Amino acid sequence: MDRPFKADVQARGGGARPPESGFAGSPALPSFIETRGVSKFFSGVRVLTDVSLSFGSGEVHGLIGENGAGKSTLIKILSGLYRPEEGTLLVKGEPVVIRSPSHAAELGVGVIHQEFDLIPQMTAAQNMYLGREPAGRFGVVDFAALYADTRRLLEEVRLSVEPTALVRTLSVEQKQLLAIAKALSWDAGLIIMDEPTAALNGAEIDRLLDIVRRLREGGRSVIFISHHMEEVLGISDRVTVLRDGRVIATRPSSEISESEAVRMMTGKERIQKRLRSGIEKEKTKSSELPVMSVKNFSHPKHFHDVSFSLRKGEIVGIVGLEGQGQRQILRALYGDMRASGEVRIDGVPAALKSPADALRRGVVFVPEERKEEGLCLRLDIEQNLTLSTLKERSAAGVLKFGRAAREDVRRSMSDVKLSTDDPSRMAYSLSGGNQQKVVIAKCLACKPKVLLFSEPTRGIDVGAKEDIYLLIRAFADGGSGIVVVSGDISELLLVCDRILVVHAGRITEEFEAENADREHIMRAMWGLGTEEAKEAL
Amino acid sequence: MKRSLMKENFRKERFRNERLRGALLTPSAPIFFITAVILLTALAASESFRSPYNLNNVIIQTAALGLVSLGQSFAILAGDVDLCVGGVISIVTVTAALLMKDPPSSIILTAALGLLIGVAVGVVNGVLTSLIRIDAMVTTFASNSVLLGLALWLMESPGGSVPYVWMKLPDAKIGFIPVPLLILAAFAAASWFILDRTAAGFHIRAVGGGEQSAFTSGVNIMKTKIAAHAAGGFFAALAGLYLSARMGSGDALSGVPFSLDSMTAVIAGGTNFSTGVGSVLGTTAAAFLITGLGNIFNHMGVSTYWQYVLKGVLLVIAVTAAALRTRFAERGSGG
Repeated sequence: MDRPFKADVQARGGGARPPESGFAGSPALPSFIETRGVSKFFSGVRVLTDVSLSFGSGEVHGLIGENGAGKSTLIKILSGLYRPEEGTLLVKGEPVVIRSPSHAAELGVGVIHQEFDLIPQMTAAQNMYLGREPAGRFGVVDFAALYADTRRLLEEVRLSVEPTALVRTLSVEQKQLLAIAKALSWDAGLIIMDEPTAALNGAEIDRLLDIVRRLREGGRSVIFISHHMEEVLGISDRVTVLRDGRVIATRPSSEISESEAVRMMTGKERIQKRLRSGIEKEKTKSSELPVMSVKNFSHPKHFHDVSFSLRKGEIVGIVGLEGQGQRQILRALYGDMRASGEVRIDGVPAALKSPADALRRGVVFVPEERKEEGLCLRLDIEQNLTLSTLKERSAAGVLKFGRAAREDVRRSMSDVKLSTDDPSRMAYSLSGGNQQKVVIAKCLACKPKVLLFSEPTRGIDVGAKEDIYLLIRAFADGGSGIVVVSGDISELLLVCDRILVVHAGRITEEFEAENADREHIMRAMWGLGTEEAKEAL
Repeated sequence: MKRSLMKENFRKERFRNERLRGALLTPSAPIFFITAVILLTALAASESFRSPYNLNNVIIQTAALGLVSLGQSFAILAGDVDLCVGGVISIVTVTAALLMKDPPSSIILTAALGLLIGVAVGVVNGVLTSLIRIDAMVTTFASNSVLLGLALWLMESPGGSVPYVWMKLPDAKIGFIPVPLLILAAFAAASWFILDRTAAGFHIRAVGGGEQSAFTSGVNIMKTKIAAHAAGGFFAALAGLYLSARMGSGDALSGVPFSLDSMTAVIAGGTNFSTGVGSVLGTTAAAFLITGLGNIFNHMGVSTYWQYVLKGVLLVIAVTAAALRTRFAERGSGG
């Protein structure tokens, strides 16, 4: 990996700084944008405290921190969505007040938001130039220019879709690349990438990192945010660690190790050891009826001949490259997609025709799109928790209220170690990790036999991830069978008892997590045969 | 070499299929089909329906609804709804009947005043919805009530008059083409051009399809919403002026049915709420269908009451067809 500015950074801005130093000394490169003593409050609560950072032209600046550490708030300030209560922003040394996203764009700040900001019903080209279409007199759009420019930028990110393709019809990966191309089209001096790799697979990530390097060589400033530590440390010249809305440290990325960074982010060591099942001995009783067994489960398009069984207290992981059918298997098990074959719950054949069917039989699904499927963001924690258990919590159709009901809610909240104990907090005001915990608490209340998790920790910070792993284990120890679909192998190795690899819609291999290794699983995911795998040994 | 050629051919083939599929799956396809079938059947079956006099009548009637519905399209595509088009029509017919006198200058000034009223009402609606963030359903409903009240205060019962030339306008023809048809076609084309060919149109659709995304992309939400509502008001005022010519007088209640009928036309025409998708052509076709059906029912002797029922059923069928189409399209793309 070439890093043209590395030496420079170390020479001028480098060196170990004491932590909590806040402002990271003079910028290594002429700064494009600078924050000085920036603070932000939400209804009286400080979410950013005295943040002073500078982002140099020709610098890739990594920003790491747990969810709720203030990364997104800082980005929203830089992109004109929020205005700070205290402090100043300087663009190229000039103090500015960024009034709106379009003003930020004029100042040369381009942002790739996590949620993409694409309009599904419009074409790739329309989205790319939304708000600044190449237009002639009376705002008449110059379609030739629009399509030509779009095609050029799509080529730059090597995305092979027509400019006229509707965004609705694109895959997540394609949307991500389109969002990147859109940010490039701003021709901005600073490009902020918020979790740009979350939806990408290996080759696409490399392609993205290439783009980032090219931007740096072109003298752009890049702010790179990712939950994948090795990615951030690998690509950036300097990293800034945020915690609780403060800058903990800014260091050249070569001078900071992964574990050091995690320690700074969380203030604690990351869990390294696999979570052991609490009922390991009982589990070996093979005579016991599996809580769920799946036989010849097939879908004409997405998966074929899937068979596995799930014992009580067992956690089975399903892993595969993006789009190999693993998500659809989960959907079908939850009754959200029709499939042929047989599913038995506690030995009894169960036709899971709808999510309601599945729920009735004790199969509960924890979706990855928690904001869309798992939570009502405009309701508070209590209402969200009560939603799926309305029957138990009401008498003659009227909701129970008063202290006992509140206590109930508080108990489930502490069960999942929610960071707040206020049941009236709105769901949207919670961090990603805490939202996921509310979703899990909801499921807990349904007393599930089988729990299906899809990407349980996607977009969640390290500390909260650990809590969620512990919760999943606790579910299993409580007697539920659990299926986890995840793209994160280390996560599966950490929590699962068994790991199934899906390739091209089929289960191609099965590993005992205890003696599985990463590389084998990887090879199986890529569809490389066992013989080759053996050779590799 | 050969291989790349094959690939190229394959791509072309696929592209063509996609276009065909696109055409068949456009949200307006059902309304085109239904309108064509019903109107052709009526033409073939009923002699009185296909008489030149009656056809001209259908066109004269459609022009009013068509114009309002075009304006309604702007509001709905921007993710709002305009419930005050009826009020605007009422107050404009009343204004025209009270103020419009014979001299050409009076005609022009009154017409301009009418359009100004429409645009001003639209701007107020747009400001209230985007700046103060009151739901468009509420703001436009409220302004409808205000306008209706004012119109009734100005003119308690239908009356007043408009100049003779103005009255002749709906019956005029250029060659054999009725002027109302020309007016409708011209404004439909203009609407199509604005919505599908200009940046402003893209912004309207973008705001309707995803306000947050549009905002972060740098679209000025307030300006866009104000423009969409102003277009709604402008077209309603236009329809009001047209109606004043058709009726030859003013009527404070003449606008009332249009708020709902225009929504019906827009939705049946394949525009759906909160996606920014929909075509002006579909809306126009739906306007023809709605007035055409009324005319057909009159010929068949169906009572007004039953016409209401059948209109409702038509709306449900059109919306169902659109919904089924969307679901089919989404399944097809493997989502």
